[in-house]
Amino acid sequence: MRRLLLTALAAAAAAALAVPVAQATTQARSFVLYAKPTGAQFVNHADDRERGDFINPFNADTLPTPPSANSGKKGARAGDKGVFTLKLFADANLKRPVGSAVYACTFNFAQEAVCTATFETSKGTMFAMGPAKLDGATIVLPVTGGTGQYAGAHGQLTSAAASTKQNTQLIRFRLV
Amino acid sequence: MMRPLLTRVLLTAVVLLATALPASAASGAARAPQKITVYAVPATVQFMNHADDRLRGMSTNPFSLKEQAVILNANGQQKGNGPFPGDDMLYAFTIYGDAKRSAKIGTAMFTCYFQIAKRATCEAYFDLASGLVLASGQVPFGAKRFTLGVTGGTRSYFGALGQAVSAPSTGNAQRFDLSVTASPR
Repeated sequence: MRRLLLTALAAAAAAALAVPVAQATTQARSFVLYAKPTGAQFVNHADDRERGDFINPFNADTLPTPPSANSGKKGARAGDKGVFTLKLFADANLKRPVGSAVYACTFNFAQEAVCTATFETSKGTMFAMGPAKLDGATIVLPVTGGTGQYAGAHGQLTSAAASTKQNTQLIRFRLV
Repeated sequence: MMRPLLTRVLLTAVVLLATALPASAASGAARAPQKITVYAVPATVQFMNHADDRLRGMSTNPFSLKEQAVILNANGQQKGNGPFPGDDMLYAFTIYGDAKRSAKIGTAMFTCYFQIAKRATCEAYFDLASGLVLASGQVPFGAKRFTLGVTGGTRSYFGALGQAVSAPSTGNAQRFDLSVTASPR
C-alpha cells in the first residue's frame, strides 16, 4: 500500500514538474525594453555610389534598371550607412537603465535600410537583423541569436514609438 | 481512513498526468519544414565602388607594420571593374509565386559585402505576405547556384531556421527553394 502511495505521489510530482519544463521549451517569452537614442553617425557614400554607377562588374546590358529607383531622401540613398546608439531602460519613465543597443544600418531603396541590431544587457546580448523603414513606422526584426541568458535566442522584436516619452522607442521582444 | 486518501492521491496523480501529456507531446513533436518556392526577378541594383577607401586604407590603417604585409595592394591584382574587397552591392528583387510571373507575392533585398576573390557575404530578406524570412551566406560574384542559411523570420516565420537554395530560372529570374522550420508562436 505504501509503495503504491509513493509511486502515485512520485508520478504526480513528476507530472507536475514535467509541465513547466515542457512549456518552457515551447512557449515564447516576452519582455519590453525602452530605448532612448544617444548618438548617430551617418556615413555618406555618394562618391562610391557615383563611381559604382560607371565602374562596376556588370555587363551594362544585363543591369536591371538604372539606379533611378534609388529614391531615398537627401542624405540617405542606397549604399549610405548609419550607426545609431541607444540607451536601454526597463521602465517607461526611463529611470532604470539596463543596457545599450547599437543599430548598424545600410540604406537601400525606397527609404528603407537593412539594420543589424545588438542589444547588450547584464543578462547577455541579443542580435537582430532586417529591414527598417525610415518614415518612423513600426519596425519588426527577426532576432537571430544571443549570448549569456539569451544564448540561442530566436524570435522577433517589434519597435515602435513609445506613447509615454518623446523620442523613445518601446521594443517588445518575443523569444523562443 | 487510508483508502479515501489513497484514492484522492491517485486521482490527483491521474489528473496531473493527463494535463502533462499534451504539453509533453507538443514539445516532442518536431515541426515539419515548410517548403516555399519563389521566383526572384531583379528590380534595382546599386553597386558601391570603394576604390578610394581601399586606396586610402592601404596607407592609413590601424594595423602594425608587421600586419600591413598581408594587406592587399593594387600590384596588378585589382585590374578590371571588380568587385574588389570592400565593395558592396544592393540588389532588389520582385518576388513571384510561379515561373510564369503571373502574380507578384513580395520583394527581396540582398546586401552583399565583397571580400577576397570576388566572393561576397550576403544578407538577404524575403518580404512575403505572411512574414519576413531572413537568410545569409556566401555568394561568389555571378554565381547562379548558391545556398543561404535561413537565420530568422517574423510573423508566420517567427523564429525560422532552414535554408534557401538558389538556382537559375527562365530569363533573368532566380528560383529560390526555401525550406523553413518556424517556431511555435
